Order: sequence, then C-alpha cells, then structure tokens
Amino acid sequence: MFQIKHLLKAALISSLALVPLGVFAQDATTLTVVGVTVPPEEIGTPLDLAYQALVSSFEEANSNVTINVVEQPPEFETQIMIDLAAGTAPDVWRAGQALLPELIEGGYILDVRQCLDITPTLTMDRFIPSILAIHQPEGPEGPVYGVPNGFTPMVFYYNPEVFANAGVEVPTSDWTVEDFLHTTQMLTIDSQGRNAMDPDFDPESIEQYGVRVRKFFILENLAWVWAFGGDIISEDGTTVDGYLNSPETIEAITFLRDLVLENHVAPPPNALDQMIQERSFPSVFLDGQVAMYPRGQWEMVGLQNQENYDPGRVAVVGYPVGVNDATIAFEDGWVINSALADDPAKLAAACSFIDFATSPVFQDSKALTGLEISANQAVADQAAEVSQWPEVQAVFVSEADDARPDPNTRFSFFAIVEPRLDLMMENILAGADVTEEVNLAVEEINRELSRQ
Amino acid sequence: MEYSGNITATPPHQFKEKNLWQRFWSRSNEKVGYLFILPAFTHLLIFLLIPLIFSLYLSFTNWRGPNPQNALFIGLENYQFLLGDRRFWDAMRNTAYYTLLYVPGSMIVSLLIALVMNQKLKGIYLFRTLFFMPVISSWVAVSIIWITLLDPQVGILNYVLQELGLPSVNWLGDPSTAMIAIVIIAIWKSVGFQMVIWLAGLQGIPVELHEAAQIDGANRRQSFFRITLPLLAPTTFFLAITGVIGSFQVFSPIYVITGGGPRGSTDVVVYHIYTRAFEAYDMGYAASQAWVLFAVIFAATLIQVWYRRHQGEGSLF
Amino acid sequence: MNSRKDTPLQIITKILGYLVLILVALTMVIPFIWMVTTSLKQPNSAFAYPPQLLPTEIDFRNYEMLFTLVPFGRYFINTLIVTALTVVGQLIITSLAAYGFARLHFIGRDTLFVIFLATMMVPYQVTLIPLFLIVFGLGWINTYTGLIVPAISSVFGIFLLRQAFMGVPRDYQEAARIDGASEFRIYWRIFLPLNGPALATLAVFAFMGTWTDLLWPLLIARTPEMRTLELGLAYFNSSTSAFRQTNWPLMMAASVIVMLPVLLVYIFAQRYFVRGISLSGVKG
Repeated sequence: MFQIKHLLKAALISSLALVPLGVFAQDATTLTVVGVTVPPEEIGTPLDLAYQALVSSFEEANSNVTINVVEQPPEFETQIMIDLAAGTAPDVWRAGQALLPELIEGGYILDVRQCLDITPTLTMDRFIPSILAIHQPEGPEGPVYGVPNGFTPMVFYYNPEVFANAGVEVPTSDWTVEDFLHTTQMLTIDSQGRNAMDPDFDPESIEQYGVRVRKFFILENLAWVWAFGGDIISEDGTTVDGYLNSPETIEAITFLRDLVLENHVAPPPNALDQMIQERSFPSVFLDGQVAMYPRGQWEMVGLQNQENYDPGRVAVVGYPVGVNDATIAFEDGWVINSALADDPAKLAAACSFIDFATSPVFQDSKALTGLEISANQAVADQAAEVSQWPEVQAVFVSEADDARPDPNTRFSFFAIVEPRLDLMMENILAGADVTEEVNLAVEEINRELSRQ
Repeated sequence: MEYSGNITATPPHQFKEKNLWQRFWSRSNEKVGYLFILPAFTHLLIFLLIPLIFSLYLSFTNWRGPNPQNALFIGLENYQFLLGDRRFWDAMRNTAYYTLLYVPGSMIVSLLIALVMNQKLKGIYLFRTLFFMPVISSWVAVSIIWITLLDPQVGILNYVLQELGLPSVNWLGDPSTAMIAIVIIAIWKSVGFQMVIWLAGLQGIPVELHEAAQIDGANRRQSFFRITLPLLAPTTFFLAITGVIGSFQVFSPIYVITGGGPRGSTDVVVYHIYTRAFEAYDMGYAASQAWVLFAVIFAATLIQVWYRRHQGEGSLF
Repeated sequence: MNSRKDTPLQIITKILGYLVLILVALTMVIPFIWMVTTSLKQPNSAFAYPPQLLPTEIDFRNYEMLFTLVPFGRYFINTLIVTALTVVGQLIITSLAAYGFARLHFIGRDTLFVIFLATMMVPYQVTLIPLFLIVFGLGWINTYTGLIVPAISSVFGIFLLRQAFMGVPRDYQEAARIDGASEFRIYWRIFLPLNGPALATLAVFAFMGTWTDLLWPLLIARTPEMRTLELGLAYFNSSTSAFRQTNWPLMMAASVIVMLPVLLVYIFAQRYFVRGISLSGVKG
C-alpha cells in the first residue's frame, strides 16, 4: 500500500481533474497553483484583481505554460496533508510559515536553489534577509525551502482620539515598558471618570481600558518576552527549560498578567468576551473602549471596513522597548512541490512562477491591498509612498528591522507547543500561579521535544 | 454453490465429535447467511478494516506525516509516551464527563417526552416533526445557531435568564459551563431521534399488560417501573450503547463551537486526536491515541453487554 | 377512535401533556426561527438587545449573494445524485446484513457481528488517511464513485435494522419457510415491508449524513463541477485571512439553503414513520 502512488500514477494522470488534458500535449505545461484566489464573496476586490493580473501576466510571458488555478479549499491544512500522502498536491502553493517545518522535514518542498540556474532572473538578494531566513533553516548558506511572499511585524494599534481626550502624549517608537504601563493606567477609566492612577479608582466599573491582553502567546506576547530579555526555546530547539522559565520570561509573563489582574488596565477574558459579542473588536477599539492592542498589518483592512472608521482614530507604534527592542514577524511564502524535481518542464515553469510572484509585477499590489508588506526589499521600501495610509505603513516597514521570525521553525511539534503555550497563558490570565503554570508547561513541552 | 462436488467426495465422518469444518457444512449452519452479509462485509473490509489495521501499524511508528513511506518502526514508544501524556488524559476525562452528562441526560429527557407523546394526544405528528428538526440539521448549522443563541450579551438564552431575574452566564467562555453548554446543545439535537426510538419501543408494549396491572391495583408509577421500563430494556440498551459510543466520539460541536477551550475544558479526545493528526501531523502518535480510545470504548461496551447479560437477558444484544 | 368519555383526571393529564409538548416544541423551533431571522439581516445589524426573534427588516441580500456566486443548480444535482445513490445503497446493503445477523444461524455469526459493532467505535478521523489512499488507489478521486461508494454501508444502520428485524415474530419466518419461500424472498416480502419505520429512519439518517457531509467531499471533489452543496457553501468564510470577521447572517443563510431539502425529505418520510409506529402494534 505504501507504493500505491507509484503503481497508480497512470490512474492519477487520467482521473485527476487537477491535471487537465493539456498535460498530454508535448509543448504545453500546466502548473497547478493554490493560493491565488479569494473566497467567493471577495471576488472583484483589489486582492482578487492582483491575483488575476499575476496569472495572466505570467501566462503572457510564458506562452507554453498554463496555470491551473485551484481555489484554496476550506481546511486547506488537512487537505494538503492528505494530498501529499497520495501525491495529489498542487505544484506550487502559498503556505503560512506554520506548516513549513513539517513540509521541510518530510521532504515535500523543493530547495529553490535548484531554480537559480533554470531561472536566472530569480535572485535571492531581492528579499529582505530576515524574512528570507525563515525559509533557510540551516542558515544563509543552506537550502532555501520556498521564497517569502509577504510579512507583517506585530505592532500596537492605538486610538489617538482616546489619548487626546485623556490628555496623554501619543507613544513614540522609543517608548519604554514603564511608559507603556503609565500610559495604560492613564487611559483606563471607571464610570466616575477616574483613571487607574486615582486612589479611588473602582476596578468594578471600568468603562474604558488601556490595552487588550490575550492568551495568544506567540502571536501577541512573545514580543514582550523578548523585550524583557527572555526567550522561550533554545537556539537548537531541543529544550524550553531555562528559556520559558527563565527569570526574564517569567517577569514578562507576570507583567502581562498584572496588566489584567493587578493594574486592571486590560479587560479580563470574561469582560473582553462581553465587549466583543455585540460587534467586532475593531469597532470597539474605534469607539475608544480599548485604547491599544497588538496586531499585524492585516488589521488595517478590518478597521477600514468598520462603520465607525475614521483615519484619525488609528495609528500604530512598535512594541515598547525593554532590554531589547524587538517584535515578531509573521510571513507567508511560495513553495514548490518536491515531486517537480523529476519533471524539468514543470520545474522550470514553477521557478518562473515564483520569480514572477515575488517580483514587483505582483508584489506592488501589497501596498494597495494593505494586508501585508512585500518581502521584496525594493517594493517594501516604496510601500509607504504608494500606501493609502502612509504613516501607518512607514511604521510597519521600520518595525520590520526589529522583527524576529516566529520561532516555529525551531520547534518540531509546533502545532502542539503553540496551543500549550496559549493554554498556559489562558490559565495565568485567569489567576493561576505564574511560576507553577510555566513549570508545568516546560515539563510538558520538553516531554514532547524529547520524542525526537 | 453450497454443496459442491468436491465436498460430497470427502470421506464420511471419521470422528464422533464434529470439528469446525464439519459443523460448517452441516445443514444446521444456514450458509445463505454469508451471502446476506457478504456485501456489507466486503465494504467493511475495504473501507474500514484495512484502513484500521493500517492505523494499528502506524501506531507503532513515528510517522510524522504526510507520507507514510517515511515512517520508522519504533515499537511501543508511542504508547509509553501516551501513558504520561497529561493533556491526553485530561481529554479523556473531559470526554468521560461529557458522556456522563449526555447519555443519561438525553435518554431521560427523550423518554419523558416519549411518555407524554404516547398518551394518544391529537396533533402528535406535528409535534414529532418539530422535535425531529434538530436531528436532521447538520452539526455545522446547529453550531452556528447556538453560538449566537448562547451569547452572553445578545443571546436569547441569557435574555430569558435575565427576564427571570437570573444572572447572565457566559456559557461558552467559562470553563465551568462550556461543557454543560455543549451537552445541552447535543441533547437538544438528539432528543427527537431518541424519542422516536423510545416511542417505537413503548408502542410495542401490549396495552393489556398495563390494564392487568391496574386491575391488580398497581398505580401509574409502579406500572411504569415494574412493567414499562423492564419491557423497554432492548430500547434502553440500544440507546445506551449507541449513546456511549457516540459520546466518546463527539467531535463536530467541539470543532465548530469551542475548539477545545476555554482553558482546555472542552478538549475531548477525538478533537485532541484530530489536532495531533491534522494540525501537528503527528500521525503515528495520533494513531496510538486512537487505539487507546478504541480500547476504552470497547471496554465500555463490553461492560454494558455484560451488565445486560447479568440482568438475565439471553441473547447477546 | 376512543368512544369513552374522558374523566376529569384524564383531561388534566392531557392538558399538562400538551403544555409539556408545546414547551418542548418551542425549544426545538425557536433556534430555527432565529436562524431564518438572522439570515435576513446584514452583519452590522445582526445582533440587537433585546434579541429579536421575528424579523424587523427583511433583506434578501445574503441569499442573492449566495445564489449569484454559487452555481447552485450544479451543486444541487451533484448532491442529489450522491445522496440518492448512497441512501439506496445503504438501505439494500445494511438490510441484507441485518437479516443475516438477525434471523439466520451460521457459524461465526456472533463473532462477525461483534467485529461489525466494534468498528462503530472507531472514530473516523483515525482511518481517514488510509481510506483516502485506498480511494485514491482505486482512481476514484473527483468522481461520483469516490463520493458514494465509501458511504454505501453503515454499521449503525445494520445495528438499527437488526434490532428491528429481531422484533418480527419468528412464526412469520417459519410459516414462510414451510411454504417453501427462499430466505431472500422472506427478507424481501416479509421483513422489508414490516420494517418500514426502521428503514425510513435509516433513510433519513443516511440522507442527512450524506447531504451535510463536508470532510469527505472536500477531499474527493477537486473541481467546482464536482462540489456538493455543503462544500460549495463552505468556500464562503473559508478565507484564512485573519482580518475577516465572521459573517453570521451569511452563514445562517447558507445553512437555511442546505437544510431546506433535508426538511422536505423528512416531512415526506414522516408518513412512513407514522405508518410504522401504528404497525409496530403487531410486534407484541
């Protein structure tokens, strides 16, 4: 049964509609691509048009290649996994970095250094080095598994109107952890109009919070850990002991916990739930009920879609500076199915496609759609000029310099570890003892890591 | 087909005791039964047993997916790891909690409704149609509806609670109520089905028995506990077995509604396995977890069968 | 039917009975009314306090959007073909097996039945990948065969029908045998007609399970032409882009569309339930 895919390759070619008849023609090559479509209700949006333009301009430039565009299915992660097992996966797809370690470890995606000779125009120096590094688990001299498409660092969104109403200075990129705490206290206001610095402040009747703190550990809290000088895992990815439970990391986690439970400047989970049921969080934020929250660039689009959106209510700033000035970056990239190594024509088409997809032809659309920053250095540098919100875009681009990649490439069981960290944080934010919870998480995560 | 020439040519019985071979060919073995079973068995073999055996093999490997070719045989390592896997046993405990709430809860509620419906009231068909609506809805649709119904702010359930002067509950956001909420939804969804099964059982009980009992001076309660309930035993058994099996496999509402949260309180075992297998691609280990779950369900079923036999029921099921 | 006058106690019992039933009926139906009401709203006005059970605005834009963007005709026909063949297949295969298990004595029967029953306890996520590899090996990806065949038998169905068949009096079978009827004839002429309600129950379950299945069609149907209704609708709100808010009204509208045919089938099959339950008096 293991060999099923070899025995039945013929059946695959004839029966799979993923591979249309074009494959039998001598000169024509069909490349199956996932990741250049939008869901049905977004047809006609700038992003959709950008994808269409990418496909048509590629086909124009490569008349012997047809792109078979496959919609990104719901539950894509489950499907790609099964497809890889059966050999029915697409030739090229766009993957979030969460999947990368498994894909690399299993040998399912191609080292794109193979493309460099075939497609000389595809150069690696076009990419922002820190983002390209996500695809180079063995360092800059090692293999390159796929190429980056776009990324976003995490930043703090804040509402300048709320700051003005409270008479608080808006933050600058060099603000410190102390500044941050002070700011949130000034911006947290109870029903009597007293802020959290006031000795009579009533935490039971808070009407406006300074910040949002949530359990999502890697997404929103890891940058804090770095700012405090801590980390969560060793460089070689074999242990979290001495990292996740280091004094710096515990200090950072305690700081976040205290924002909710001691300083009362961030809503506890229950209060947050209540706030966002009636409407979306962006709408709550725009109305000033919460003054700040950490998020990536895609949030701008969500904010803009709100009825109460007003450019004067949205600004962004980097994470506060502690021992380090650091933030985390999330990325998505183009990867090539390793099965293409046996098919020179397809490989050439795939290499050419990722060249196209990461060159300005398509990447220029990033600034227009505003979902993420192009990983193409030249395009990113000009993003602020093209963007509809230049100041915001400029902050994102400058924050990219401090961005460290999501540590998932260092974990072997990231999909188990990440929810475990979230559970730890969720328990802590609900009042559990910090050291105890962290040690429990260290023990369980190290158990997973020891399975290697 | 059953009596081919080959067989008639075999020598006459040399042993007094019939061996399996002889018993197989004896007339009392109604071999046509195999033909009746054949289609279902073939289907089961190809689409369930073979995949299942495959997954048993996988549970002894470190298959990290997607491609099974990369799997290494590692013996019992997965099972050893599992013994100390706190998250897995938490998920097992959550599942047991769900089962303990759901199985008796749904059976009692549906039996009560069936008893009322059995009163030969007019318009019963309309009611049955209405009660059956949740049964025929997809879990996805039901989940979507209930997420909004249970909303602490704008949900109808809390609105009713508030109108009654009770505090509003953050059903799905509070670890102590989230599983209860899931159980309520599951009962709501399945009550119509169980009610129909109970009703069929109830209508199979001869009216004369109750009349005779009444003449003997039994009140309604006695007649229910002494006559109705014992005669409903096959129905009870069917619902209990399928209910327990179903509860151990509860997945869809967790997947759509809570994702295992809050604070891991609804992380049931099949959902846990699903995340292992399809989010972490940790297929070999996930397979070993599935086999342990299978063993637990099997044991639970055997206990129920044993209990039923112990009660003096002759047939196996 | 009943010519006797009800005593006051019986009248009170009946009134109480109706009260209980009405209460339960409300509990069952309100969520669906809520679904329809919400599906007629736009996301921004979807939720208000106090909750509005009946629509204050009627806005068909969600349905319009679904109908313009989704080739419903095609999806509907696909779903119909797949569901109809699956249901018929399940009824035939499971009832045959159920007869064998319920009414024929052959060596290994109980062992086989335990094996069948045991597989019911296997969560199907466990066998998903090997199953897919088999279906792939058979060349059934993106075909109706691939959508239908893996689902044309059901252990639950066998268990359900076996329980029902066991309720048929043994005399019927014996008498028919004495008359020289073959086992198949007994199954076909006596057991199937007598078990209409159980068969109808199974049919409704098979219908519903197939009609609303998502995961399997997702893996098998690879081109839009092969998609089923539920799968086609799942492509909405499936975007991984994190900026999007859940559009509840749109999802409710999609659910209404998927549910309606099931409801109609149920109302039709209901007649068989009805007949069945009155027939079950024979069983005593």
